[in-house]
Amino acid sequence: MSGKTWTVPSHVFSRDFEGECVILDLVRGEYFGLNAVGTTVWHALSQGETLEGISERITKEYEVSEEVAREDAERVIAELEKCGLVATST
Amino acid sequence: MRWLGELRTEGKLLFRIGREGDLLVAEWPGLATLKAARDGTAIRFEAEPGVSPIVSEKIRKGLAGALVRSIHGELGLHASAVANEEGAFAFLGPSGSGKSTTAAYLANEGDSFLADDIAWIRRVGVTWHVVPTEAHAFLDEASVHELRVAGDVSQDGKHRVAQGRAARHEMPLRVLFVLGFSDHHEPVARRLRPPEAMGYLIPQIVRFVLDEPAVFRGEFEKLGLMLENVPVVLFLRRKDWTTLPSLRAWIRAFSGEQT
Repeated sequence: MSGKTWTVPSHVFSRDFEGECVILDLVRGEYFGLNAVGTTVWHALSQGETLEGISERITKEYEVSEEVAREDAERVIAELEKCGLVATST
Repeated sequence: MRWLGELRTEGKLLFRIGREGDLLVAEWPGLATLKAARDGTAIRFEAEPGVSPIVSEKIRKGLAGALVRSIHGELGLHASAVANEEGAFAFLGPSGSGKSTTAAYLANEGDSFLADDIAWIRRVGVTWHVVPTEAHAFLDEASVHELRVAGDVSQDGKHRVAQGRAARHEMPLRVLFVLGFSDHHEPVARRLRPPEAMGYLIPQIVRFVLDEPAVFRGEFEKLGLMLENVPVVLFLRRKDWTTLPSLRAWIRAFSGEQT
């Protein structure tokens, strides 16, 4: 995933509630809830961060090792890709 | 005719929504049809021949009315609702979770009745009001027996029970309760975090336009705004009549917190 970034399709909309994000797929009519770490990943990824940048954010915000942060980021991104909520941009 | 969504119970089609050109169409098979132009004009509700006035009136005042209002951006939820001097309380939950019975019970205890199964929720500044839409509760045999009330029996076997204390004015919504059953002896009430609450509320939105992403987004944003001001509480109790008074106590407790 190194150097790769992601985009959020125009039919996907999100809203934060007290630090947790709910994502809505407007075409399929489905919704997804993210926990705090997932929300951090979502915001970083929406802002064009690479996997390295996203992992760094998690490391700083949750005081976890780089390894754990990277695993968390990869897991969340894989799930978002699987659900069609993000697409690879480069 | 293009059908876009349907509701079935045990394989039986109960309701469906679709489009016929520019027309939005809702059909209760064998009972009634509602058609409206996409701009909310040319509204036409027709009950099938032989359908009892009780059933057609319930559909017209309940879901059909909410579908029409939804075209104009109004928020309707599949929920019952009552009001006391503190404001309105709405009750959501899957079919059979006791929405109608709960509202009828609370109305019997002195609250005003606002809605049996469709709550019209209107934004007024930063508050959200429940507008009275229905003056009858539709109860099953067991509920009628336990609540010691009487009413006409409609085609679907439900008893239509007039609510003497039907509300006449809209009331500010204080709490949305999500009803459910559990095996625990004591009822449990837990305030839901907004993302959790969204999961319960989104499927309960009354929607006539199913194929326009912008409309869905508008509904989602509206719910989001409402959750900034209205707490959602998951209330689980044993499937037992003796647990209903505890819900009343919780309502009192939550309404006290909100005021």
